[in-house]
Amino acid sequence: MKNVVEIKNIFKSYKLGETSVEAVRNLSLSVVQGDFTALIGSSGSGKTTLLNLIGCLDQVDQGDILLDGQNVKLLDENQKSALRNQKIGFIFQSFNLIPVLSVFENVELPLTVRQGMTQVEMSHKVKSALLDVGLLEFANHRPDQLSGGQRQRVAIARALVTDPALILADEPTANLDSKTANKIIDLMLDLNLKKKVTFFFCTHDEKLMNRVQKIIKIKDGQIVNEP
Amino acid sequence: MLSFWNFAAKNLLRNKRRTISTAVAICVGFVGLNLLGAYIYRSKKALDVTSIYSAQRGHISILKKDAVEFYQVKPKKYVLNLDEQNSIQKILANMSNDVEYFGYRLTVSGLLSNGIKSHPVVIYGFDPLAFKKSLQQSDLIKWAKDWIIPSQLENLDIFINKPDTLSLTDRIADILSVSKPYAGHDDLQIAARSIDGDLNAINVSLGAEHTTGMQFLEDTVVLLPLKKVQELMNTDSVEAISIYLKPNINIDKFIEKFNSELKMNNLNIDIFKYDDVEINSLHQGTMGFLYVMGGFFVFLICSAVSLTIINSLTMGIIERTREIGTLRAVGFTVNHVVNLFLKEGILLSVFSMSAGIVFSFIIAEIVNRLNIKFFPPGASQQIQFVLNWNMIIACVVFLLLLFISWISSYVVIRQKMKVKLINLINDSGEIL
Repeated sequence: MKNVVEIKNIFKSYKLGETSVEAVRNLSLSVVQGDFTALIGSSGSGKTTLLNLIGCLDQVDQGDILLDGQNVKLLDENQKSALRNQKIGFIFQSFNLIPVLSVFENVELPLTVRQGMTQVEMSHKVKSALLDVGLLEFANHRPDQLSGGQRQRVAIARALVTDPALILADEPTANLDSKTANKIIDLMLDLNLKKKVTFFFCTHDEKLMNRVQKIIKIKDGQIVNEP
Repeated sequence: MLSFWNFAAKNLLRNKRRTISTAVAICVGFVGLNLLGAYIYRSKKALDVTSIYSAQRGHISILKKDAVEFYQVKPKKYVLNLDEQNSIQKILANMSNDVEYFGYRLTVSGLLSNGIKSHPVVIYGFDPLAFKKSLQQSDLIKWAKDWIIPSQLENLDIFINKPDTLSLTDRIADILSVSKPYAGHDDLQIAARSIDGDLNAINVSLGAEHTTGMQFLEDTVVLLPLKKVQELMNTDSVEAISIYLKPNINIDKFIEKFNSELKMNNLNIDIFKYDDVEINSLHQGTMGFLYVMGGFFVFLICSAVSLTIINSLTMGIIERTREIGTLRAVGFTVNHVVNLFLKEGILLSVFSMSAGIVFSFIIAEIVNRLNIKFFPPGASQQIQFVLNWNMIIACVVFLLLLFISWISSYVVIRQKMKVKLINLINDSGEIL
């Protein structure tokens, strides 16, 4: 199995007023294709920062991140956008759906900036993603007409629609009740098992931790266990 | 399929109140600019046709070189003699594709008397045939009917049939205690210096009226057929030739052609376009004023529209910062996001200005039907405040405001796109 993500000795710090905070220090890890990996750590440990660096939402100060063999440090902004569109799916804690668009259009969003896809192909992919998350019948609904769990399913479908190499999820169940959170976890596991979708996410949720293949613990910007 | 235009249209409906108020501002700005342009356009057309036809300057006036400066002082030296007139006439005959007609002019200062009172006047000698043709021009009726007295149009042949007929303004008639109708009134006498400097006098009969359109000329200018003025000045020369071109002839190109013909014939002539400052400072001055004032208002209105768009878009972007981050996260480039917001601005502007076109038309119609009269600065009488709604002006204003909208939207969204992507996503925006 190939490495979807390879992280080599990365450093990242932020300025907070006068002081500089090292969010990630000399961190190295790999994510293998098909993995279902949880990144856990207390608040301020650097897990969200690491997720953002892997997703090319932020830039490392030192070190390299290879995403599907490509060193993201060498890419310009447009190339990073293309990489995110083709290789990465994002699931946010607050779902981050576009309120004026329907469920179908929200899921379709990443495909609208892809070149060379016909309308028929796009429609097929969207319907397929909605089917995978069990929301095809809600295609014409708007996000404000859905429950929290349904919204997160839409976000998962949006992340899946581009057939990404990796799905990054930042606390995907944090805003959900326990019953709904379980359903979301079941869905993610199902997708990982059946479709071999690689998941890498950070969480506080113990229920999720108990069901993952791998757990990586991060503390003060460094990994404290080898998976 | 979700298109950017579709997405943009949906975004506009997010905050209907803000969208409507921005749309109203753009619409009002458009209507203001459109009607301002319509008024300036109408003013220019009115000035053009009165300069060309009412004032008998023609599209082009030709005079002896330096005559504009020195004719009043040394008329004999600065007139066009018979030979020069004939040469010019031959040239004009060869340019009949461009020239509709032409007429001669001759002016002299003198005294007009009814035997009891005398009044200093400028006697404007004109070609009766050219005068008749000029008054019949459809453009003159269309753009400057306020400057034409109805009796002028009723009796177009009076100067042809009775070449000693003098035309008076109401003011001069009052000064000389002449009451209407003028026909049948005792003859008046005009005295003036002949071309050689001797004093001469002739009798003239009353029979026509006119208005100069200008307050300061209403007690000065009388009109008399050319032959009588030549008789008064004891000359067969003329001061100027007015050339009237056919419709759609390019005046500057004609002047170029005509100039080369004059040089080939060794004629020492000055050529003036009807709106040249040397012979028509009123036209230059008035249009200059209108352009400056108009330009000022254009600047004000465009600034107001731009600031409204910037304000509205800034509010929208602040609310949608996290959403912008999400779009970037799923693969939208900076240009995609900029493109999306520009389309919103364009859609809003197009919609608002389309409504503005309808409102401009309605307002113009209402104003024109109200028949509002006013005194333009220096005018001798009231004219109607007319707004001539014009599609070309509407299109120019449309494109101008579209550009303003585009540039305002671009500046705002480009500024936002300088923010780091991670900060966009972490911004507290609308939470679902």
